[in-house]
Amino acid sequence: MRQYVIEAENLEKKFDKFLVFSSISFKLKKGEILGFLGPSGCGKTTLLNIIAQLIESDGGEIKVNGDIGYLFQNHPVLPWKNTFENIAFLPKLKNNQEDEQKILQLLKMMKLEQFSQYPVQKISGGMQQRVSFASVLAPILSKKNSILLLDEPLNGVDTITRERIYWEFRNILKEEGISAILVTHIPEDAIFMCDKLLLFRPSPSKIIERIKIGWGNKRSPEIRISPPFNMLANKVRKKMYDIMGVEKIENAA
Amino acid sequence: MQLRVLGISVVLLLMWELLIIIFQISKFILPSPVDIAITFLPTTTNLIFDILVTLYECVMAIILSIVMGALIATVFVIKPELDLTLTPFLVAMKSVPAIALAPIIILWFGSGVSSKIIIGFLIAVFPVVIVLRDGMKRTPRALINIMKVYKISKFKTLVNVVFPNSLPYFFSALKVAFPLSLVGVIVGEFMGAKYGLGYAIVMFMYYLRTPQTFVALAWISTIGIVGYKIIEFLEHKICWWEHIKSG
Repeated sequence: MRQYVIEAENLEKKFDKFLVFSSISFKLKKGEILGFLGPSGCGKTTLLNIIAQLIESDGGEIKVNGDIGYLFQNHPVLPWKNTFENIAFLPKLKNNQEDEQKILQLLKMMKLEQFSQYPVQKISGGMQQRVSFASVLAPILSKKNSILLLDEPLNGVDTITRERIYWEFRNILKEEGISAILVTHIPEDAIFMCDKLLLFRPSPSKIIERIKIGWGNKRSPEIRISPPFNMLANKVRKKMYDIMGVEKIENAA
Repeated sequence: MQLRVLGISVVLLLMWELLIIIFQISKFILPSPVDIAITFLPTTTNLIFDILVTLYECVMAIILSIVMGALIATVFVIKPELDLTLTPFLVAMKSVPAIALAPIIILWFGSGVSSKIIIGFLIAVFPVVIVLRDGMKRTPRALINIMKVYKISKFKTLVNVVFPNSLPYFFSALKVAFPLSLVGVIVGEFMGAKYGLGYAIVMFMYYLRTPQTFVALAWISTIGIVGYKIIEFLEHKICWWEHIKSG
């Protein structure tokens, strides 16, 4: 039986009297990528913050068995450091030493070797996203149970680049056996990246469906244009329409 | 750009000279640029010690402002409750004009350099505290949270994230504080001193040596400009990332 790295049972969170979510239960297996999919404002980021122990839940129980890494939405890079130093920053502070081999390995994985000494503002937005990914991965790489939390990490990156980078991210996570949770509101990204999806509805937030993605590890950007992929994406999108209510969407438009 | 500044300066000086000739203004009231130029070298030779004294007081006042200002701002960021309690006192202190504070400081600390340094410090420290505190508070939330997630100590976060991130604010504070410290020092010298450019101005005006007063004023202005340029140079060297074009 595979080991669970996160076990959440009946989690509940309130902001003052406003109930953000209740009865949230899920488990994350070692090496698995789980997706939190749902419209904006349904507490997905709040849930990640509870997992990362940045905030406390108001009810329920959560067990985390592993080292957590967190790639925030609009994750900042350190402008006063170059690409290499950005990636080496957290391990150096955490362990008081710089594992140069590990940083070089990450630079190679992220195809950033030739930009190693570049100031981060000099590289493109997509490359900066890779630097951020590598920098949060560096302290937890090759740990026994590594868990990476990804909060809509590629916001603002153009569609094709985003698809490409998600593919690279997925390959690295799978090769290194890192468990991950991806928060997104884009069904195609969630389906492409994840092994399992939790579909959330808002106000108050609840998990309304658990979807298993059955394509294993054989994924490439081309899968996104295949009919089965699009059929599943449409099915998930239809469920999101149902959650939001089509009238609500029309009114919002 | 520098040529343009030079051109404007020449035009202004010419206009000044012309106005003196047209309206036949006495050099005791307003000396012409030529009158000032004639007395510039001999007056400067006499003023060298005063220039050095004012420069010393000003540099010491700004160093004290930086050290104390950075310390207070850091404490305010670490302990926001102290910020809430003590900032009203800082504002009250800042609201009293330096000119009103100077006689008391001189009474307490004497007419030597220390009273001028304290007056310069009292005026300059306020912007350092406020700008630096606000700069440190503007460290991106995600950067602070990432440190918490990876269980990195508050001290390491302060030194490695908050301080570097607020460096551009530090230099902005310095650019405001340096001229202010110079004003404080000169005001202190007006009130009671044995040396310094402020003292020299009082003495020159006592004997109606107006051209010499303008030479002293020119030196005060030079200290201000050179100080500002040094701060700007250091900012470009230290905060290099603020001045590179994004990729």
